[in-house]
Amino acid sequence: MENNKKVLVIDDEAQIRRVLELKFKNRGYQVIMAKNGEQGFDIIQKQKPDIVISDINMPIMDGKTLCEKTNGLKKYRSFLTIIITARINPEDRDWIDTLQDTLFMEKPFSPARIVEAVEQYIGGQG
Amino acid sequence: MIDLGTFKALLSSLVPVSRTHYQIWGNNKEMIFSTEGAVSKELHVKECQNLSNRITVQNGFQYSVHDGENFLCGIPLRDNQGVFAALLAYGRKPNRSFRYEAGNDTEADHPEEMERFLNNLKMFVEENLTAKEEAEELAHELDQSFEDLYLYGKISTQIKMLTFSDKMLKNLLEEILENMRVDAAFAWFPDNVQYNFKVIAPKIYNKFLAPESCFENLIHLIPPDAPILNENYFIINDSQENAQYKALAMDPYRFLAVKVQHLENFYGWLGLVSFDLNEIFRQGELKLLRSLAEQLAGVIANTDLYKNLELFIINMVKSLVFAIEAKDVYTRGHSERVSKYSMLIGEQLGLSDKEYNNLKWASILHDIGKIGIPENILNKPDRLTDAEYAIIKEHPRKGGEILKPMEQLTDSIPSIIHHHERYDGRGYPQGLKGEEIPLGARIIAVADTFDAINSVRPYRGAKSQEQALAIVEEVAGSQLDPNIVEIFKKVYKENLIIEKEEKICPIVQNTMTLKKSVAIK
Repeated sequence: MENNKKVLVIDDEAQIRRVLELKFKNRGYQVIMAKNGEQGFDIIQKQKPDIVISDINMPIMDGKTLCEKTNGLKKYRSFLTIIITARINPEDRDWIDTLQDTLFMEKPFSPARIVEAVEQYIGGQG
Repeated sequence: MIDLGTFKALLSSLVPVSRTHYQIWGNNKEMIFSTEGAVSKELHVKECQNLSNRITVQNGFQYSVHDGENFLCGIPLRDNQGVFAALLAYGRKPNRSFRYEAGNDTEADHPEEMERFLNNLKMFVEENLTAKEEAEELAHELDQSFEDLYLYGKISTQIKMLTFSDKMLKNLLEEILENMRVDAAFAWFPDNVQYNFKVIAPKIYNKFLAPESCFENLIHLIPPDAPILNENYFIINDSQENAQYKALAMDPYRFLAVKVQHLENFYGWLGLVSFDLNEIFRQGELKLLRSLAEQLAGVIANTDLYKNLELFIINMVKSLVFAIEAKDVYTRGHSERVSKYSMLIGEQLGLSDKEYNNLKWASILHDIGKIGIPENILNKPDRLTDAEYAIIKEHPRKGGEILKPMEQLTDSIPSIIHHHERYDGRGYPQGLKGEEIPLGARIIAVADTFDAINSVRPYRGAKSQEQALAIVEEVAGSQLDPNIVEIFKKVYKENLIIEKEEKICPIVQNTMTLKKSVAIK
């Protein structure tokens, strides 16, 4: 069950953090959590997670700014970003397409599907 | 399963300060944890195992002394299901100088101290574990409600489609199957078998002994007096509990069905089957399925209402047509034939569904205004006076007025009002010209002209279809739209019209014979 992958969950809602923490811990992942983009960015730089799951609307630093900032880091180290958002408009979709290794899930999301997406990405990496 | 991480760390740090070692033994007589890499020479694993056994069985504190100076004691650890482990402590019994509170009988004091100490440790770990378990349970429930919410969101998009259709039901069941992680999802409508639908995971199909009728059987076996039916659902969490249900499949399964019902109208059932007995149908799933069934019933009810309304209009139109035909014996069957020819032209033209529907109503009702014209004028065998002809010319406008209150027919009215316009602009009531005349009206004009020539009129006999077509061709461009006439010719040449008359409308033929006899008289 142990698995050396690190998942970072960035969301200002405690229940979303809690659900994803349980989901990934039960599958042997190490889970780190952050409440906003700024905390999240700090953790991404210092702890180098393999998967980042982030909300869009958050205080202090929102998910968009975070993604713009972390996309540059992906040149040196690839990791998966999953954006969870309430509504996705066509411009957002286009914007996500410009980002490297980035998926989105619409809220209400299915935690099981997020796990599936992560495992597919990890499986694809070999 | 239980994570004792923090507790293990605490025990390890207690070793140097308490000069005691600690072990945790599970119920299965296996050591889970020890603060000492290898068990010390003084104590054999066997002794520890025996003690942990005694603790678990007797469910209380145990203390013993070996070789006069070594002690071994322990206490049970419980969770909400009872004793799950034994916490053991062992070491050298403290000497007098080490003890801070010397009593007369040190032999008796040490076990008491150890019991108090271990009891405090035990309370610490148990409370911790309970809190952790509760938090985990909450997170698990939260996870389930996230899944339910997701499914609900996805499915309500499907269900929002206004009308009920096979495709909609299929999509709905597929979503349920995939997202509720069951092996089969089905809809069973006993009075509307055409609605019945099932989606089944391929791997389980052969598990039912009669796969074709399994869903029917599942529903039929529901005991009509089951108290749970008052709540509009039925559930079996293990088919082995019911002999009849057990007999339906080779492996045990669970089954949940909810009624699809809107107000007092019962339509059928929405059902789920799963062969995974490690799970049960949760309250959340039941709630979700019930709410889906309710929405589905709402959609069916709407569709039924819509269909009823459509049927009502059809019947009303039929009554109106009967009303004109009762009045004007010469036009008997005429409305239906004009409608048929118009529809054939409409098909050739590739009209949209909406245009086609409007043409259908307009063509069958084009002469409805004749209801307002005196019978003696309608059926007059002699040439009409100018005044009488002026009255006849009122019928398209009157038709529009009669149908005005029927909202559903609003879009058909222009084609009725203008079906006597001429392509060259010399027609009535408004003298519209060419493309100004609504397309429907131009189509009806061709069909109407052809059938009028082909039928008996009070003032003349009927001409053959070939003659009628020749006349129609002659007036193309003046009276009739030449493009429509071209299409009509095509339809005619493909024998579609004659075929229709012979095969589908024997009644029409009879009325034609009747007309001829009237004419001879």
